[in-house]
Amino acid sequence: MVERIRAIENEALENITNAKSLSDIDDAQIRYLGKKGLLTELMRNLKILPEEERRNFGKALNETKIKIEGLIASRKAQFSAQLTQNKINSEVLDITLPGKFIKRGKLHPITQVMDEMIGIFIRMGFSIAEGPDIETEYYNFEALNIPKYHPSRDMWSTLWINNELLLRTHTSPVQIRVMEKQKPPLAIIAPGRVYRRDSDVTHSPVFHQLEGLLVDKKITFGDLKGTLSYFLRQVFGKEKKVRFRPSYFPFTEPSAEVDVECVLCNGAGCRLCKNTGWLEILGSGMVDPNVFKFVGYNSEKFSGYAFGMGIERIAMLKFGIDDIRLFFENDLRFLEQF
Amino acid sequence: MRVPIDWLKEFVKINVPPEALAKKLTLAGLEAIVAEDAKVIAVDILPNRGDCESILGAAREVSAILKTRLIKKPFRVVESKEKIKLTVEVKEKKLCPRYMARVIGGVVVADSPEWLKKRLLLAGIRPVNNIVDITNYLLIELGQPMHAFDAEKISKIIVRQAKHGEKIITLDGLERILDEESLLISDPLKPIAIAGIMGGLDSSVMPGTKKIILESAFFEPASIVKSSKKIKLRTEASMRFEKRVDFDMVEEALDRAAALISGIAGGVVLKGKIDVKAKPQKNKTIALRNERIKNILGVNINRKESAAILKLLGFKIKKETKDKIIVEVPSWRAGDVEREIDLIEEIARIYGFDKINETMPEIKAKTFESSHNRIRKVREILLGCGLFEVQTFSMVAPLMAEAGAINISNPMAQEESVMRTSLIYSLLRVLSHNLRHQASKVNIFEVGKVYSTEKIPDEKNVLSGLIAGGDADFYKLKGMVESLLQEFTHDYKLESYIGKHFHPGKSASIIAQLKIIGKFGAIHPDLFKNIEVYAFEIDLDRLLALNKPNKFYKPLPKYPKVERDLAMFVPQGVASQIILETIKRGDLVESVEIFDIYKNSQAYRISFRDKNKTLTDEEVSVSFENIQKELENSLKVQIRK
Repeated sequence: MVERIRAIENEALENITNAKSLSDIDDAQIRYLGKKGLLTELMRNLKILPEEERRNFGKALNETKIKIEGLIASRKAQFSAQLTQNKINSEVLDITLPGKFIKRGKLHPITQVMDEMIGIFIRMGFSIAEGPDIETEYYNFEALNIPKYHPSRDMWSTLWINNELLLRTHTSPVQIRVMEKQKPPLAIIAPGRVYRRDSDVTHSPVFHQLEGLLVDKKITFGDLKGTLSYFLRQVFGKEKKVRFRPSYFPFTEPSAEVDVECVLCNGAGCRLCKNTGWLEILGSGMVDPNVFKFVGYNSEKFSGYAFGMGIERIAMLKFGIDDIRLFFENDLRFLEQF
Repeated sequence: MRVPIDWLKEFVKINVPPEALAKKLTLAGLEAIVAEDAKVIAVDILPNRGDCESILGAAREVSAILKTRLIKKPFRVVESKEKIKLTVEVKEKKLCPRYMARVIGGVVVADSPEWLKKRLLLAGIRPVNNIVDITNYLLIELGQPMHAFDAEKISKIIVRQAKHGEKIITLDGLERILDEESLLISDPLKPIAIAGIMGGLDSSVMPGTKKIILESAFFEPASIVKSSKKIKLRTEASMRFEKRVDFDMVEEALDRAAALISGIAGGVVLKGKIDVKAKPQKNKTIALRNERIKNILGVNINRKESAAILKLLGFKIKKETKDKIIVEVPSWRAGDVEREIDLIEEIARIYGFDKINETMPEIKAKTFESSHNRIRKVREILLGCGLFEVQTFSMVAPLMAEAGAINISNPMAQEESVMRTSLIYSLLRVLSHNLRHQASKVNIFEVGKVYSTEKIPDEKNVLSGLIAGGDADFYKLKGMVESLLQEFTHDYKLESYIGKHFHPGKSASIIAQLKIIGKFGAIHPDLFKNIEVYAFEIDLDRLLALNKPNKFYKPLPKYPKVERDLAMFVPQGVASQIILETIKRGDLVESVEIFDIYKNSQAYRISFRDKNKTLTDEEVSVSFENIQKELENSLKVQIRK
């Protein structure tokens, strides 16, 4: 009896080992382990054997069964791995063929730069304020300490609607509008469109500015320097040097023009920076006490800083654009690049 | 201003090379570059620093920055025995608080000597003749504009307001028509100069002129601004008067001119000088508190140091106490230094902005929300729809705006003369531009303001977009518009729209909260001919005001859905919306969508579900049959089987 088992085992192991395909294995499984398989038959015979024999015989039969099952499983795994491998080998794509794009649009480069800047100031704790494009002479000039017959008015070439209304020449009127309504402490930025009667490769009658205003007790010029240096390094890179240079704006005093190391030559001097190594980026200063007077703030108690910058100029420097008019022409071949 | 370095050196000791000097000037607020083989420093003078518009003014700054001494130029006027006989009547004492004059006889008008011509050319001024050149020379050197008249042609000088319509031919040969805004220098008969701006041709110094009247005056800045704006003429002289000249320099300049003229052009200076002065101007004094310096600048600059800086700039320290100093402002700074803060600025710029430490303020202000984030979301959705953002001018051509749009009184161009009332025209212009440049497909949008025709200032934020070319059609546009709308609300209605700009059969208006918040559809072929354009315009303020209801979670279904497809021929005039609503009313219908349209055949996919049990085929079939019957009976559709 045991010999019979051994014979079946040897035959089975040989068959399975030599199997050429998954179906050979399936056949072998049926032949030996199936309902009418050889081992199954022997198993059925167990019942008629005497107790002692049955135990020995049963044990041998079980061992054989486990051996065969084990071999079947491992051979099956081999074949299936082989099949997968064959499938993989036959499936090679040309990965250089173009992908199927879900074509997204793009934000206008001015919006991209503006959003980046707004983000920096929002994280610092500033809030966004807005004002109208069509402004009164009072908000655009008078309240900003720019009297009517003062030569400083020439700093802004103005587009007028009538004697009192104009297209705002800067975002600074928003400062006045906010201060009229709110008491300090105050931390706002005012992004928006501004208008000047100018047009050439670096000047557009319509462009964008970002204005900032911080008013509280004991705000100093040092704070202005700290805030703007941090901001400019965020925009132009941590390694860039920033320089503050005395300037003049009727609504701030002291006033400072802020320069960043040239983006092209890193300060060595080139055509872009007119050999100075520096690029003028923004205007700033401590809010002039006269401006506080216009909005009813006590300049002995409060101080503040204000700043403003042209977004197109910064975008031109960041992206290497040499003609401001490209921004408003909206050629898709231009817009796609950002 | 162009400052020849040799000339500058006559007034101040310079102990650094030109490049270094330019850098130091720049960091003190006088943006400077070296030009012309280091012979000239070109300085940008800030609008409030009229006192720097001269060699002397630049020298004062250099002396303060380099801490070197100013050099005084000696001169002497030799007067003849003959006394000056000239009557000057100043009728406008406020506008002309000081008028001085000298008379010089026996001059020979000729070319200037070479050195003088060279200097003028380096400074950017064209030589004319020795008399004119000397006045120009001193204009550059001292910042005081002067004018020379031919004395033979003038009997008396009157400083008065011009009369409306009064005419004068100026030195440049042009006839100027004046009004009350201008101040005139006149003789009893006619105007001889527009005060502070330009002299008249008739009374000018010409070859052959023998006797001259030399004028040196102080004109009120605002008056010169007005006058110069009115006649649209700006000169080296008017520019300096506008920024205020040094009241105390009027006399010195006159005397220097007299001395130079008699030296160079011959002639004798008549004895005495005219000086019609309103009242002597007193220099202002200002108190400067130490603590205030620290509070504004954030740096401790002690009293001694600030006093030293101010002295270098020509200020006088009248009194010093423990916590403040009393400062007298020099006459040449009367225009821009009037308050304590002005002194602090002076100290800061000479002390050096770079020496003030950077600090980070603690921001205590309350933050508040703006629409910025929500507009960002709108932009993101449209980008996802494949639209590119554009930015167009707020001003358009009159034809592109509604009647009554706001006009600009001094536009740069006709196409930029009216405030836009819609963004659609601007987008169509962008479309044209891109089609001209061979784009086959244009998908764009803009977020911007439009300007009311009724009320000023009434500005609305609008969102507008268009698609053209490629697979653009009404339904693609509709899909974009609705995916945007649904980010804000599901509670809106679409209705047929008949109105400006749009094709009446292919347009819809969007109604939410009982208001039209926008419209979309095919652009009217009258507006754009060559290609079909689909556009939308939405009132952004109203869109953002729609509050999407709070999001509440609905449990996910436990039992499966069953889908059935239904194809039908739809008679003309039956809107698919009616079919959809009819199907939705069917038993067990969870949802329905259109999945195919071909001509008048439409195919709908219906999902049935019971939330309490798995549906049987039979249950679904009963409902499905009923739906078909209802469609056939009430809508006369023909079910395809």
